[in-house]
Formats: sequence, structure tokens, C-alpha cells
Amino acid sequence: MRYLIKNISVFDSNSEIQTNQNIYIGKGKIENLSHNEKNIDKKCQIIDGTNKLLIPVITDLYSNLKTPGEEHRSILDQEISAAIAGGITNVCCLPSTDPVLDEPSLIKDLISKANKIFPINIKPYAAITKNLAGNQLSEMKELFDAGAIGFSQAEQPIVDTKVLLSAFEYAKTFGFTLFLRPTENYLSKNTYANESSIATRLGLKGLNRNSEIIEILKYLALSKDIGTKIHLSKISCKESLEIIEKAKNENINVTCDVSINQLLFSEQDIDGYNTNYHLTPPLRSKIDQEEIFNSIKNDVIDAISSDHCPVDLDKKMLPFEESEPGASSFETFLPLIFKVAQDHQINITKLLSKISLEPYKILNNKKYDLNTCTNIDFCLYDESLSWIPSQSSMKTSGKNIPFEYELRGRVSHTFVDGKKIYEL
Amino acid sequence: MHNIQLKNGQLQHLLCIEGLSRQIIDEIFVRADSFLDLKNNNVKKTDLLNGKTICNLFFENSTRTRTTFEIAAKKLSADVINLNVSTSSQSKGESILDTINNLIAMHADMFVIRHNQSGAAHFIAKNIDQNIKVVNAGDGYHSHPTQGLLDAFTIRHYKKDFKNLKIAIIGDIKHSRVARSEINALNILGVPELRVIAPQTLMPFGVKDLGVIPFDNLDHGVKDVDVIMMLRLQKERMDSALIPSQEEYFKTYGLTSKRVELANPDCIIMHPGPMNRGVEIESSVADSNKAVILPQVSFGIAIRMAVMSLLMEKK
Repeated sequence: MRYLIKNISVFDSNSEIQTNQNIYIGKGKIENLSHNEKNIDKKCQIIDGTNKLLIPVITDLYSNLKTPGEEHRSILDQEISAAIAGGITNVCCLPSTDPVLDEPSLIKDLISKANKIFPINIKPYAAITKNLAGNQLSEMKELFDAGAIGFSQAEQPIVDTKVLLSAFEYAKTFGFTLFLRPTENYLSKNTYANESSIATRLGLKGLNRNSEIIEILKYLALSKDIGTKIHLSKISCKESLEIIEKAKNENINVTCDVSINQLLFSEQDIDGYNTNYHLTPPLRSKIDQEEIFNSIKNDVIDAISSDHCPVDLDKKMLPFEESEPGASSFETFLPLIFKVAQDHQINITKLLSKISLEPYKILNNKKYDLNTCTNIDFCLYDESLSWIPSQSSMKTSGKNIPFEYELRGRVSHTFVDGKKIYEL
Repeated sequence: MHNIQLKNGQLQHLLCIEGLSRQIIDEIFVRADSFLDLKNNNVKKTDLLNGKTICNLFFENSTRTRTTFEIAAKKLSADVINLNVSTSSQSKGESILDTINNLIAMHADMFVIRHNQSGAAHFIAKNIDQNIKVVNAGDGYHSHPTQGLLDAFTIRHYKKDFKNLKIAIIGDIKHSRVARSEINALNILGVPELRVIAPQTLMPFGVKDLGVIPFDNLDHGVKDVDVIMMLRLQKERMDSALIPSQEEYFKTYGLTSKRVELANPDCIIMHPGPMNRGVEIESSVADSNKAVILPQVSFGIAIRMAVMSLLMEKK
């Protein structure tokens, strides 16, 4: 099938929005129509692009598909459908599954199962250590060859620094990237909120911010010495961003992302013990949030991740500390990015590049070029649609959404490899 | 925080002290006074809650608090059911809400709940039939409102009013729901100088925001105070490296008769119990005529009677 999208705005490879474009998609490629309208296939499907924005290659660097492990709930089917409905065409998922993604066959199996549902680009991270236990390195080369995009310990840090050093050295040998979520093992154990006056008042066990800072300093020291490319996931503290900025100025091979949740919510939201705000890392202070916005503007933060984590309702209907952390955010990701742009006066092109072009570059070490790419992935975002995320309007298995307001804008179409795979 | 324990300014549940008005606390105190009068007149029981069923639902071990709640309920002529949940349905995998809803189906009118998770009582109150009342008997590090109230009631009994008092709370402030409830209650009641005394490892983050003056030196902290409120030191604090030993703790933060001399000569000494003699308090201090530790227990029954009868009357 070929498509003609008329009168569309396009977020292009130079992070600029071009308005009033006519886009013809033939053989998986995009062609701007201004000069060669004669070559259009007359049978092509025409899509009205009025009020729509074409956003290429939305790439999510941190999500939890809970597969393998919860097949009995058909969870993969629902989460892949949710990603597509959110316009996310590149989904990087964590290895903290059951069993842990530490065997090449598990990586191949996950990719194959996902592709049977939809031809989406599933990019699993394999575990850095066997069973995420932090003792023995996993077979990184084999896992990479099986389709792992990089290596991660999810939320479980490597405690043994000697093993960590080996992981850095081994990854460097093959040019692999380590995707690390900085959290210190002992400080983070049994904590449920940002350590602050609010946590004190609510009696919740707080996470000391040094948990994140100490781990970052450790990773940066190793990266500086060994040269391993590292990506730091879900940064949440002001001090962490200051350290990362300094590291980047010293040309340490580091990039980082922040969770969409940290942009939208703060620790004040946990007042009232709403378990939908039980997240990892915990929601931080307004001061941290302000620094996150600054760091997006000055590019210390390279990417924004959805931090999608579907949680069964029963696991949220518990006292705060007993509830399972996480929020469902595939489907609300893009509208919330627009909300952040509006609420905090951040240029939308800056934010869009941090969910598409920048994370793509982190994964692939090259720029995404919409005009020359032969397997184009993109979504159409309709800014005129308003909707309220609810159990019935969402495809994800987890109904754990930490807000109840109306969202303006929604993904109307998703294309992978030039083929339309989703239409609202 | 949306205060779900209040509806149109009226108390629906007692979940924490935070958000209560001075008027509500005074109402509880006046009611507790009347129950003390009953005792003084040798009246053992009233029939205020005759026919009502109160479930003491303790997800965490407790002897003293559960017993005083039970006595208070029985003095009000309520039927009392004690459930030690850690040994029953929870161990069979039943969810906390299912346990509660089953008891509601058995016509429970009120739950007295103790749980090791902060916010557990809020969670239950938010998710059950709004005609059923919830009294928090301690949730994690968060709140133990009846203890906070009975401690304030004890101070009121001995000091008459709160206007010119200097009060010091000594011990593991960080992990203490009792301390948080005492601080909240005494702030609402207008105590002008509230001090907390502990080593930094037992002091919660941002403690000043609770409305207290922190001290890490006991001698400085107790100087000229009118009330000393001790907290129990739990043994697991040593295991988690928060203090080196009981001996060193007693040496630096134990209340000795010598240290009591630094306080106002007519100061009173309180402790929520159970006490660790020789760890946080010297025996001679605990047994001195300044100690009001046993009257606290008796006042606890009056306060719990007041809270339960107030909640049920509003039903």
C-alpha cells in the first residue's frame, strides 16, 4: 500500500517543523511531493493531514514489558498495542523479566513474539549479569548477536565493584553500551519516597539522594578510565545533572534520560498516599524538577523515556509502601510531552527531538534521516483530538495512570517500515 | 493533603492528628474528662455504644494499645472482636480490603487498625463503606493519633494549659509515629517551644518543618523544659548501624536523674511504653514522683473512649 498524506506538518531530521507538506510514501520511503506529483500511484490511500504532525521514529529508552513472565495475562499483546497506539515505534525494554533476559534464545523469542503481534521494533536490553544477580557476566556478545540493543541491570545495581569493572571492560571490548539506572543498593533498599519533609510527615521511608549521586560518580569514573559508552537512565536529582554536565564537558562518553513522570509530577503528589504516584526513582522536589527542565533546554539531558510499567490494579490497591511501583505511560507519552511544552514554556521541537532523533542516535550511533531512510517509522499526532485516559480508552494491561485530566492531542496513525499498522 | 477523616469539619475517622482543629481536640478532651469523672464516681460502664461491634484489627503485634482499646470499647458497652491478622487470613494470601469487607459483612461498625505500613489506615478508610469508622492505632512511622492525644491530655492534666510550656521529646524521632503525633498535637494546642532531641541518625529529614527545634545534645535540649517525653529505643536500630550500642546511647541520650535536674524543677516525665530501663531511661527516673507514665495509661482509656464514642455518635 502507498500513502499520500496531504497538508501535514512534519517534524524533520533537523528538529524543525515544516508546515503544509504533502508526503507520499512509496516503497517504505518518504518523498516530498512538491516536484514529482506525476509519479503518484493513483490507488494510494489519501490521509488528510490537517491538524496533524508527522513525528518520526519515537524511541523509548526505558520501558517494562513484563515479558517473559506474565504470558497468562496476554500482557505482551496489550503492551505492544499500547506502544503503537502511543506512536512509539522503537521500544527498548528491560531485562528484569521472569526469567531474566540473559539467554540469547529469550531475546530472540521476545522479538519474534512481539513481531507476530505487530511489526514493531522491539529492542530488548539484555542483563549485564546472569539473572541480574551481579556475580557473573552474561554472554554479552551472544546476546547482542541475538538482538539485544544494549545491556542493563534494570533496577538492580551491581554491588560488587570488581564485577562492575569487568562489565565496563567487557562492554568496551565489543563497543556495547551499558544502560545504567543509578541507584545504590543499600541506600535504596526499602525506600518508597524522596527523602524530604513530605516523606517525614507521611512517615514514608525516604530515599537519600546520595543513592543516585554515588552510583553516577562510580559509573563516570569507570567510563572515564575505560572509555565504555554509558547511558544513565531516569535521572532525578539536581546534583546528578550537574555532575553529568561536568562529565560531558570532560568528554566522558555519557548520555542520559529522564522519565516523563519526573517532568509532570513532584513529591508533593504523594501526599494522600495515592499509589499511582509510587514510582522509581521516587518523585523528587520542585527544585529537582526545575533543574530537569533547565537540563532539557541546555541538552544535558539527551532523552525523555516513558518509563512505562503496567501494574495490575490489585497491586496498586494496597497501602503505599506495599504497592508495586510504576505507571502506565505508552499511550499518554506524546500528549504529555506536548503538555510539558505548554506548561513549562519549552520549545516543542526540543522535546520531540528528545523522544525521537536523540534516543535513536544513542541506540544507533547515527542520525535518523527521514528523507533518505528506506525503512521509515513515524506516527501522525492529531493536535485537535481531546481525550481522557481511562480503563476503557487505553490498551495497556496496567490501568495505573497517575492523573485524571483531559489530554489534548492523540496519535491517530502509526507507520512502521512505511506501512500503516495503527489507525485510531 | 485532602483530609479524608473530616467531612464538613466533623470527624468521620481518626487517622492522624494532622488537619484536626483545636476545637475537635478540645471536644475529645472534654469528653475524656467526663469519662474520668465516671471512673471517679465508681461507674464502670456506660451504654453509649451498646449494640455496636468494634473490630480491633492488628496487623502488627501490640499488647498495651490493643488492651486499652478493648477496655475502652467494653466500658462503652460495645461488642469487641480482637483479630490478630498476622496469624489469620493475611497469611493465607487474602488482601487487606477483602479481610475488612468480610468483617463489614459480619456487621462491624468500627475498625481499630494497627499496621506496619504508613498510610494503611488512610487506605482502608478511603476504600470502605463510608458509614464504617476507622481509628488508626498506629501506622508505620506515620501516626498514632490516640497516643498523641492522650499524651497531650496528660500534659493538660498536670500543666493546665499549653501556653507557656517548653516540651522536649527525646529518642528515636525518625522512626516514631508517636513523636509525629505528639508534635502535631502539641503544635495545634499552641505549645510555644517544642524541642526534639536525638543523634542525627535518629532525626528525620527536614524535622524543623514539623514545627520543632532539633537538638543533638541532651543536656542543652532538656534545659528548663516543663515536660520530658521519652521514646522507646528499638533494638533493631543497633542492627541497622544507626547507633553503636545501648550503652553508648544511654550515656549520651539516656534520661538520668542528673539530667532531669537541668529541666524545670516541676517538670513531668512521660513515656509511651514499653520502657527500656537502663537504655533510654534510668530506673530511678522512671519511678520518681516526676514520672506520670502510669497515669498516661489510664488517661489513654478515657481518650480512646472519647474518640470512639464521638465517632459513633456522628454516625
